[in-house]
Amino acid sequence: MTPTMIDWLRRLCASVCTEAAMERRIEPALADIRNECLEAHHHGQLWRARRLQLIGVVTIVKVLALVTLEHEVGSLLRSDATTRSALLRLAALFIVVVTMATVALASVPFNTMPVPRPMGAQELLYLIPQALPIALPVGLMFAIVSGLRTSLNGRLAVWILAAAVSCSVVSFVTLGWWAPASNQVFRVKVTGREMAKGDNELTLGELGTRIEAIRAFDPAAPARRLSVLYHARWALSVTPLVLAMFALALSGRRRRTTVGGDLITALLLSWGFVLLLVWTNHLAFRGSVPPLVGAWLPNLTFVGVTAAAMLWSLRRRAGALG
Amino acid sequence: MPTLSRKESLILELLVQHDEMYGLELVTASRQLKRGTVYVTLGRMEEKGYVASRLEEAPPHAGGLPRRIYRPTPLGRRVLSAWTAVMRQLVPRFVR
Repeated sequence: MTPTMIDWLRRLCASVCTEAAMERRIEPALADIRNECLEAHHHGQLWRARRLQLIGVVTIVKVLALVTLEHEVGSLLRSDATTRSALLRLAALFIVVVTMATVALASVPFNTMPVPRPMGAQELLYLIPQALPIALPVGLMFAIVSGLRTSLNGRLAVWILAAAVSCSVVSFVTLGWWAPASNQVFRVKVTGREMAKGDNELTLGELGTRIEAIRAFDPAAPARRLSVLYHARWALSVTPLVLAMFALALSGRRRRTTVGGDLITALLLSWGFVLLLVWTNHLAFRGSVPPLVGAWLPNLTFVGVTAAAMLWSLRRRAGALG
Repeated sequence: MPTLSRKESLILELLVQHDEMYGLELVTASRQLKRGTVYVTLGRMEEKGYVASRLEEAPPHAGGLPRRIYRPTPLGRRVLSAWTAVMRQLVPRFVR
């Protein structure tokens, strides 16, 4: 590892870490890695030195990530009682709402689907993955709108946004791979025979390949249904982050009412989102709007409202100052 | 009673055996510790007072950096021996 690279890594780490973390976590790692590379060079092992250089960069990135995590967890434990109790309340509400929404969303196809034999609770488990991508963003928005009863501070916002990003990652993996695989197992279980995959059982990659195959066969073919499903999976993966930002913007600007009032607002917003999602997807399936627009419209609507709320707040603050 | 994680007890065992070691030496000797985590664990153990460290002189190769060398403190040794004794008492019960 060259001195220039060491300097660059040191500067990068110093911009994130405290002085103590630099001295006791980062500098020992940099020294060991640098000396290891030099020893390999010294023995004429150039390829080993290059490999060690690459491993060294990965090591420093890992150490940096761990130090950041350690710092964040430490600061949460040291944070004031109000922030801690707000986070605990939000987490509890989130878990309750996600559980309820998941069971409700999984029960709809479970109870209405025409199947050749009665299904048990075990089969219901296979429908959970397809319910999660809607339950997660709704749970997040519901928890923030109804549970954030303290003024929002930076640390609270960072934790909420980190949770939203995690939900987005979980949604992406679920929509792309887990739910299609689980749906297929469900179909085989309830019919009792092997079945070809339907549109909803295709993974994200398989969906893309099938759309391309249809268009290669006939460039004019819209492959509308598959395109809507494809774009909807990408759009729903981003939804937790969009709804969390919307809920944060709303909570910061809304005048607090009673607990009942907050719950009703959260319930109405959640229903509003689900209805908008169903309506825009329906429009896209029918061909009234392009698949890309239909899939992204719910997110764009909530992003638009968030931006408008923030602009309004900025103007009001500027007006108060001027 | 102070507790030890698996990584911490492994590091302390190695340090008690070899007296002084640097981070990558611990990784190589243990075959279980990871390069990314050993420095964070060592830093935390130093804050708890289980290990102490000093800076070695810069190695002879041009551009070498001084390594941080770790050794177990008397508290670290005591905690390790107490922890090992407790584990010896508890583990057979879990196995049964």
